[in-house]
Amino acid sequence: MTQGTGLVMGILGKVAIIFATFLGLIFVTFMIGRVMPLDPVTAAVGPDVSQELYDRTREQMGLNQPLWIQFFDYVAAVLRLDFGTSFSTRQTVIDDIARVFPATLELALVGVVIGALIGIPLGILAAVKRGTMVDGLIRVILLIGYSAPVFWKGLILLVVFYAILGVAEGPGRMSVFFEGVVPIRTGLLLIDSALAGEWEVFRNAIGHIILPAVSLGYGAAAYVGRMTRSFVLDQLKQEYVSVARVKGLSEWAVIFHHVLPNCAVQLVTTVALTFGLLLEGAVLTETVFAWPGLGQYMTRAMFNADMNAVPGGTSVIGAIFVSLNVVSDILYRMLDPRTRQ
Amino acid sequence: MRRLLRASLAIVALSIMTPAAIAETPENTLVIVREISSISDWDPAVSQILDVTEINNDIYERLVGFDSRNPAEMQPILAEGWEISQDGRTITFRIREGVRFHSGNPLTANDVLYSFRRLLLLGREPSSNMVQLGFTAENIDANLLASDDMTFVMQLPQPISPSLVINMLSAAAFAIVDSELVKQNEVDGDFGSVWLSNRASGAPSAASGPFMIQTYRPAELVMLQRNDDYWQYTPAMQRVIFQHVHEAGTQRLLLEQGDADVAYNLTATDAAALASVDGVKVGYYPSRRVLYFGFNTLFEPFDDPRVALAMRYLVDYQGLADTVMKNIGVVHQTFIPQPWMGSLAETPFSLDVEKAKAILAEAGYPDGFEFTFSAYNRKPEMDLATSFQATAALAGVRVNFVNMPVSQLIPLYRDQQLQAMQLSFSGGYADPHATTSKFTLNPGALPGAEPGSKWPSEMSYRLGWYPKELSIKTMAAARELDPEKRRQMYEELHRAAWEESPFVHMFQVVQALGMRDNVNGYLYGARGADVSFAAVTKE
Amino acid sequence: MTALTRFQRIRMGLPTSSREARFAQGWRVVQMLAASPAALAGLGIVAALLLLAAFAPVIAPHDPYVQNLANQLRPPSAENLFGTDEFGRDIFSRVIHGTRYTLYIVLLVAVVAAPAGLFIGASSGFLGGWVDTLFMRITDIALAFPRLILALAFVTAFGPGLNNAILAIALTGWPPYVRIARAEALMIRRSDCISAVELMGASRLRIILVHVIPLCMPSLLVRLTLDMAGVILIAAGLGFLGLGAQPPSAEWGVMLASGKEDLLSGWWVGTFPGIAIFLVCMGFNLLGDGLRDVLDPRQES
Repeated sequence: MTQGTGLVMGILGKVAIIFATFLGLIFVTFMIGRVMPLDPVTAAVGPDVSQELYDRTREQMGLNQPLWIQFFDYVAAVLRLDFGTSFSTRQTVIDDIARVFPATLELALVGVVIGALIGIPLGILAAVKRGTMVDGLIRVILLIGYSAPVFWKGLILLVVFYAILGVAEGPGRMSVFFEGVVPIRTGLLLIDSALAGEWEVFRNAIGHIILPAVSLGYGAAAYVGRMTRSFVLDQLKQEYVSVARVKGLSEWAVIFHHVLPNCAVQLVTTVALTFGLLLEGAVLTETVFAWPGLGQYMTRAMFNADMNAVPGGTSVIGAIFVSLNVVSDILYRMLDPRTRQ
Repeated sequence: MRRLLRASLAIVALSIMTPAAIAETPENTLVIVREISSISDWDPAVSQILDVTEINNDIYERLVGFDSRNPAEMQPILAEGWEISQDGRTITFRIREGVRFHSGNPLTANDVLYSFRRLLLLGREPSSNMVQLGFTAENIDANLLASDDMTFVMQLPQPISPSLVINMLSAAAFAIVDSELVKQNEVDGDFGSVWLSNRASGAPSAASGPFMIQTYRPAELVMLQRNDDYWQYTPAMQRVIFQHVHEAGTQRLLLEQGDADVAYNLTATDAAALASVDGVKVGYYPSRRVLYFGFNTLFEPFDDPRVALAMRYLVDYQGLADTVMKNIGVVHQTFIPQPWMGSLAETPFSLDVEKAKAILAEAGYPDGFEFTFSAYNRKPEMDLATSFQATAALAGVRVNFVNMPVSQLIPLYRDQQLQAMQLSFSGGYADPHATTSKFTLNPGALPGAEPGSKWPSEMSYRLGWYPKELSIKTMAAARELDPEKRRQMYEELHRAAWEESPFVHMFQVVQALGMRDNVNGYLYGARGADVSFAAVTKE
Repeated sequence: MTALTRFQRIRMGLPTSSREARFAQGWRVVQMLAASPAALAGLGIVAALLLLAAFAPVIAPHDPYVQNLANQLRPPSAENLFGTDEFGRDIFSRVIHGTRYTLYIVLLVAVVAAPAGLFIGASSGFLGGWVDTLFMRITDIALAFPRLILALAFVTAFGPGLNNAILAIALTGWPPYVRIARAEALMIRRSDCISAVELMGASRLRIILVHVIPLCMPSLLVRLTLDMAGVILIAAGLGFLGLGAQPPSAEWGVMLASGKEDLLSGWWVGTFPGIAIFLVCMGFNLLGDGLRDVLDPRQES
C-alpha cells in the first residue's frame, strides 16, 4: 500500500468514526424519545389532546412498524431538523431551540472567556511556582471551583451581589421594559445592543450576564487552570527547557516564548471542550437566574416529560459537544508539535 | 490587537462601575412578575388555566362583566341590554354599537354567534359551560341566532334561572372573538383554534379589549400593548409586561429592588416580610379559589365514604392557617367560596387524629393503609400536601408522593387515573352553580344519562363518584328562582357533602399581591371577571 | 534475631507470603498518602462521610422529617445549628441524614458502572480482534457524549425518582473504566503465565475475572474516587431540578431547591446543604488526586 492510499484510508476511517458517533447520538435520543417512555404518543403530544389527534399522531409516528424502520424515519426527520412540536409551547422544537439557543450561547461564551482569562494565567503561575505556597493557594482556589455545584455558586452570588449589595442586576437577561428596543441581529444581546448603539441596554445586559457568567466561569477556570498547570509542568520537564535555562533565558521568557506555544494546541482544545461543559452547566445555572436559554427550556421540557423537546435539545447539545470533541481531536493530530517534526 | 483588548476592558469596567441606583420601571409600563410557565393555549375556548383566563380578562371582552375603574356591580359590556321572555327561556341581547375589534372589524351579533358556537363545538374543557346549559351539537343552531347585525337571541334548551345564565356569560370562556379574522385562520375545521392558541409573535389579535398581546415567548414573557382605540376608556399603562419568574423568593427580590411593579405568587412569609419594607405594599384580596384534596372512589379504600370522612379530620387546618397559609388563606370547608350565596362559614372539621382512627377502624382499616398522592410543585399547594403527609402518618395512613407538573396532572385526573390529588378550583362566574355543579353533580348520575358516558370536565366523574340524589338536587337548585329557597338547598348540599363527598375542601385563598407603593388600581376580585390591570395608574 | 510477627513483617516490608505482600503494598500506599496533607484531608472527609452516614440517627439531634410549622424558617441557633426550613424541620439533622443519600448514590453508581466498564474493557482487550475494535469504537462514541445532559434525558424517560436517577447516572458513567481494564488485559494477554493457565484449561471468562480484573485495582481506585466527585455533583443537580430524589427526602440537592425558593427569608436553607455537597466533593477530589500520585502517576485527571 502506498503512503497516499494509507492516508486516504486513515481519513476515511476518521470520517466513518465521526459519522458513527453522530449516528450513535441520534440512536440514543431515539431510545429516549420513542422506546423508553411507556406511551411515546402522549410523551410527544402531551396529555391533553383529543382522541383523534392522538390516533393521528400514533399513525404519523409509525409505532406499529418494526423498530428499525421507525429508527430510519427518525434519522431522516432529524437530518431535516424536524424534531416535532413541543406540546408545552405549541411551537416546533426547532423553532423553539432557535429562539432560546442564542441566550445560552452568549452565556457560555462569556463564561468560557472568563474561565480562560482567569484559569490560564493561574495555571501557569501555579506550575512555575510549583511546590510553593502560591501553588498551594491556587490549587485550593481551583479545587473549590471544581467541587462546588454550579447552581449553588449562582445562588450565593445572586444573594450577595444582587439582593444584599445591589451591585449587579437580577434574574433575567435584561430588564423587561427594554423589550423591543434592540433589533435582533445575531441573537447575542451584548453584540446586538452595541451594534445598535443602545448603550443603556448594553450596560443593563452586562449587569444581568455577569453573575451567571461568573458562576459558570469559576468552574471553567478551575478546569482550565488544572489542565494548564499540568500541561506547563509537562513542558517544564522537557530537555529544551533546561537547555534554554542554561543558555541564560529568564524563567518568564522561557514560558512565553517556548512553553506556551508548545502548549497552545492543548490549551485551545481544552478551552473548546470546556465550552461544551459550560453548555451543560447552563442547564443548571439558567434556572437560578431565570435565564431564557436552552437550559431553562430543557429543564421545563424535562419536568413536563415533553418527549419531542427533550430529545431535540439533547441532540443539539450533544451534536455541539461531539463536534467540539471531533474538531479538538483533528486540531490535535494536525498541529501536535510532537508530530510536526 | 492589544488596543482592542484594552478598549473592550475599559468599556466593560466603566459599565460595571456605574453605581446601581434603585432600578425603576418606566412610568407607562407595568411590570408584573408571575409564574406563567403552565400556559400553553391562549384560546379562551380551549384553556381553563387561571393564568390564561385572568390575563385574557383584559384582552377579550364578554357580553357582561365589570368596569375595571369601578367594579361594584356587574354591567352590560358588549351587550347594551337584554330582554328576557315571559317563560324565561329566551334572552334577546342588544349588541353595543360602535365597538371595534383590534383588527378594526366592527363588532356584530355574528361574532357573538360564532364565538358561542365554537365554544361548544370545539369540545374542550370550557365547553362544559355550554353543555351545562343544555346545548348540544344538534340543537345549537336552532337555539342560537343572530337575527340581525345588532341582535343576538339565545333560547335555553333547559329551564334554568336566567340570572344564572347572565352571570355565566361573564366567564372567560364566553369571550367574543373577531369571527372574520379567526375564520381566515381556520385549518381543517378547527375554528382557528391552533392559530388563536399559540399566539406566535406578531399574530394579530382577535379581541376587542383594552390590551392586546404584542410579544409572547413561552415560559418567558408576555408583553401586552394598549389598545389606543378602546371604546370604554384609555388605560393609563401603555405596556403591561408579565415576566416569568418561578420562585416566590426571586419575585420578592425583584419587587424589593424595584425591577418589578407587582409580584404575584408570594408566599405567606414573603408577604409578611414585605410589610416592613420601604417602597413596597402588600394587598390581600379574597379570591374565589378554594384548595381541596380529592380521593378517587374507584380505588380502594376510598370506595368507602367513611375513609374520605376520616381524611377530613387529618388535615391540620389551624396549624397551616397559622403558618403556611398565614394571611394568604382562610380555613374554608365548603365548595362555594365566600361571599357567594350559599356559602357557609361553618368549619366543622379540625385535626383530630383519634376521631380519624376511630372512623378508619369502623371502616375496616384500624392499622391505616397506603396510597399514592399526586402533587404538583407550586406553593402553597405543595406545602399543604407535605403537611398532610405528616399528619396522616399519625393515624397510620402512609402517603406516597408522586410529583408531576399540572399539565400532566389534569389529564390523568380527567381520566380517573389519580388515586388522590390536591388541586384548587375557581368558579368561572359569580353564581353558586359554578362550583356546586362541579363538586356535587355528576351528569352521569342523573336519571336518563347514557350508561358508560364520560364526563371528563366534571370533578365528580374524575373521582368516579356518582351521587344520584345530590346531582338531582344540584340541578334543582340551579333552576330554583326563589333566592331564599335556593340558599337553603345549597346549605343542604353542603351538609350532605360533608358526610359523603370524596372532596376535602380546606382553604379559600386570599391572594397576596405585592406592589410598589406607586401602583394603584390593580383589581383583584372574587367574582372571576373582576380581575384586571386595565385601570392601573402609577403615581 | 527474634522472629518477626506477621504484623511486623508487613510493616517493615518483609513479606513471606503473597497475601502478606499485598498487605505490605497497601501499607506502603497508606504511608505515602499520609505524607500529603491534602490527601489526608480528603481521606478524613470521606471517612467522616462514612461515619455520619452509618450513625446518622444517633448523631442527628432531631428527626429530619418531623414538621413543626410553628418553628418555620428560624435562623441558626443553639437549638437548630443550621436553622430550620419552611416546614420547621431541623436543617442540621437533615444535612446529616443527607450523607446516607450521598453514600447510597455513590456506592450504587460505583457498583453498577465500574464493573460494567471493566468487564467490557477486559473482554475487549483479552479477546481482541473485531470484538476489541467494536467495543472500543462504541466506548469512544460514548465518551464523546455530554454526560449531564444524557443523564437528565434518561431520567426524564424513566420518570423522576432517586433510583431512576442512579440508573441514569450509571448508564452514562461506564466509559472511563473501559480503558483501565483494556490496558491490563492487553498486557496479560501477551504474558506467559496466561498461556500456562490456558493450557491448564481455564476458560477465558475465568481468566478475565480472576486474573485481569484484580490487576486493575490501583487505577480503578483512583478513577472511581475521582469519578465519585462528579457523580455527587450530577446527582445533586438532578435533585435540584426535581428529577432525582423527591421531596421530602433529606437529599442535599432537594434541599438546595428549597433554598432557591427561600432566598431572602432563609439564606441558611440552601447554604448549608451546598457546603456539604462542596465539602464531600472536594474530599473525593483530594483523595483521588492523592491516590493517583501514589498509585498511578501516568493517569490523566
